[in-house]
Amino acid sequence: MSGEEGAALLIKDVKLYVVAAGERERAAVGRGGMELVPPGLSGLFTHGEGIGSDAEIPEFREKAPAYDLILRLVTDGDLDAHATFASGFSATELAWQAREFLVKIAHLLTGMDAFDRERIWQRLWYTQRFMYTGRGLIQTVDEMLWDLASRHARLPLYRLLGGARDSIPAYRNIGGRTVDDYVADAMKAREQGFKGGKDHSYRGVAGNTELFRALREAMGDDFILIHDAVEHYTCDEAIRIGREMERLGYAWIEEPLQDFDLMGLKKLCAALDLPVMAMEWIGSLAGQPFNASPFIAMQATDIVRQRAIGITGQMKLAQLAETFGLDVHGGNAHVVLAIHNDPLYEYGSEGPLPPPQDPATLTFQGIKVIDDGHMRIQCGDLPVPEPDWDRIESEALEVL
Amino acid sequence: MAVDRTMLAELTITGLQVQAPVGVVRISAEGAGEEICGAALICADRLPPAETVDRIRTALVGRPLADRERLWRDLRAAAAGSDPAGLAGVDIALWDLWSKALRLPLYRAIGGFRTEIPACLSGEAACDSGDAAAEAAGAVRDGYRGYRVAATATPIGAKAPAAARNRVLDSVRAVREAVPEDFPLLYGGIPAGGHLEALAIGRALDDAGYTWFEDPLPGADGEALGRLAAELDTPVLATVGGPDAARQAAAHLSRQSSDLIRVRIPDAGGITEALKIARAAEAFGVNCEIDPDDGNGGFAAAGLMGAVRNAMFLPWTPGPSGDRARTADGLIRTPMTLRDGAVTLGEGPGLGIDLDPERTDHDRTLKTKRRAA
Repeated sequence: MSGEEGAALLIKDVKLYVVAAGERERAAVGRGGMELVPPGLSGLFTHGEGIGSDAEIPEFREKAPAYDLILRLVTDGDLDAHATFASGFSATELAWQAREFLVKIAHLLTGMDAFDRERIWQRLWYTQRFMYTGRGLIQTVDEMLWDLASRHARLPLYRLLGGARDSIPAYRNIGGRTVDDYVADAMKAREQGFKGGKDHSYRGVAGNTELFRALREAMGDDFILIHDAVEHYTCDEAIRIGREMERLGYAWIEEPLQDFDLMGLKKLCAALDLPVMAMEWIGSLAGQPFNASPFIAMQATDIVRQRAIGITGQMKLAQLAETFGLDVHGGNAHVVLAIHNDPLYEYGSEGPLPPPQDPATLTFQGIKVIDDGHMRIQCGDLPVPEPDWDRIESEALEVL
Repeated sequence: MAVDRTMLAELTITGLQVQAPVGVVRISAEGAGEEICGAALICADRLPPAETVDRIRTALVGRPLADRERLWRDLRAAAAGSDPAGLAGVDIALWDLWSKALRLPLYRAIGGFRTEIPACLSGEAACDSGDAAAEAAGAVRDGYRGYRVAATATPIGAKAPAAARNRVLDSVRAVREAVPEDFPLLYGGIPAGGHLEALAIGRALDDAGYTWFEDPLPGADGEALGRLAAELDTPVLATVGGPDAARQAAAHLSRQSSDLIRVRIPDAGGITEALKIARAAEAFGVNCEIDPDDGNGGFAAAGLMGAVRNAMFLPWTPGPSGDRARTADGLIRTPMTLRDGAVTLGEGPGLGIDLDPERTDHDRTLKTKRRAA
């Protein structure tokens, strides 16, 4: 083997810091409650916001002192991995989470090479099952390690992952309480440069037929329209609305049935020419890329909703779909630009994005921007500032 | 070779040479006035024709090295219609170059899973030759983690004499009796034969506890292969290859027409495609074995296995008849070695192939490139 020394970054210590994060807002919002899908014959429920319900539900909002738990993987090199592991409104609760991390997880990481991401991902995958950690743990640690690799390479993550493209057309989620609201919001989205719009309208077949016809008529044929049904149809209803969407030239129907209804989704995919996208819910609960395989094998989804865990998991899911000649949709913006098989960027799924910035203010890791209806990662030449660990350590409420 | 990593974003591909007749692929990239090179080998009898090399060169030169998925798509188009081994050589050299630019070994450039790759002895004696049992015992003695017995060429179908059939089936058992009962045994494919022959051998493998049964029937006949896979307890392995290797794998996975997939890096068009197939198989809970028959001394296969969980064995053929032949050619100065039946992956950047500059004539090819430029 080559005698030349490669770069290795051994994780030699794990540290956690509970730090004050100033005041943040917290909200308890009802989103219109749960109501029967119109006209009520199917017996399925949806949330009132999606059918224009005017039910009065109280909301609570307040500002309160907030805290962050910062996780740092100390390496033997000049770069450490770090992330905000958790946030909340109780410092003692975060300190307890830190203790749990130290006992359950820290010893799984110390002594590992920070570039051995696959081994760490595979190992933490099973902590989901055996330590009931949930998906957040793998996601945070995996993203930290990719962030470290990006800083090591001085490349934005999407290029480190494969750099399939530098930008992708974006659509925006559109909404409103009435058909007229929807049309106005779609118009606004087009004025903002977006290539399309996606509704979350749960009005049933009759109500949505009216909405979709109005949208297509108002927007013309070159505006991309997408319908996110969020599980409010029966299979028969989904076939009927799907036929209407085919006539109106919709791009796809999203989450038409419960993700658990594998047989219904298979039937729907076979019936419709319109692409069917499933797996948002079941993919969010846990399990991707592994639970995507039966959907793909049974042809129970035409496009796979990207909800896989961590950057490593999302690349696995994208490559699984690619092997079958399928698209994925959603997930981390860097993954989206690293692969060929995601058709569009969903604006709004990661919060608002700024317009292009002065490149002189940007680091080589870049930031996500919306530029003439496209999402891209705009990069500069600045180095990524490393945290001032001495200051963080001295100001932390607790160091674990 | 020392590259300042601040220039990684600016690294641009500057040249490609495919050197006949030895089959060395070299790709160079420059950024901030420095040059780095990646290299790989293609078996001499599978070198792409000059016009394909020209198309590939046009697709590569002047392009940023970092944007590998874009390069891969254009490379595939440029190499369409030719032996995928040529495309694979270019893809492997690009991965060598890319991981050198990152100053990481290949497996860590992808994301490391392990540094020790278990090897099985790929036997030369046909199962019923009378020598396989001794070879298997030798594999145990030499510390290999498994033994792959070569398939018999003896027909055992309905028209074959019962004696021939019994001799073949006895030999499957004899190999098992020559090794400890938990020592992994793999059965190489039947070169020709139908379902009944495969079933007969497969039942003998079931009884003797073999780990897998390679390519018992043509992979294109997924229906027949799937029937066999359902009948047998021994996992059935199907090799995929060619420009549609990924879709072949997809078909096997969704139809359960094989229990394991195997990829040969040169036949699949390189590491990029083999990795994607391995990831797809992983999601199905299926192993994707990586065959080392890649003309690169096993370095590409072992390096890829270092980043992949779902692959068990690196098949190992000792001596000049095996893949290590490139070492015998004198192209690779430092061959891959086994210790305790496993390959320990190096920590150095790239694939770790140590090409002999005398034999591979690096300076001359660079001069040729500069003249061309």
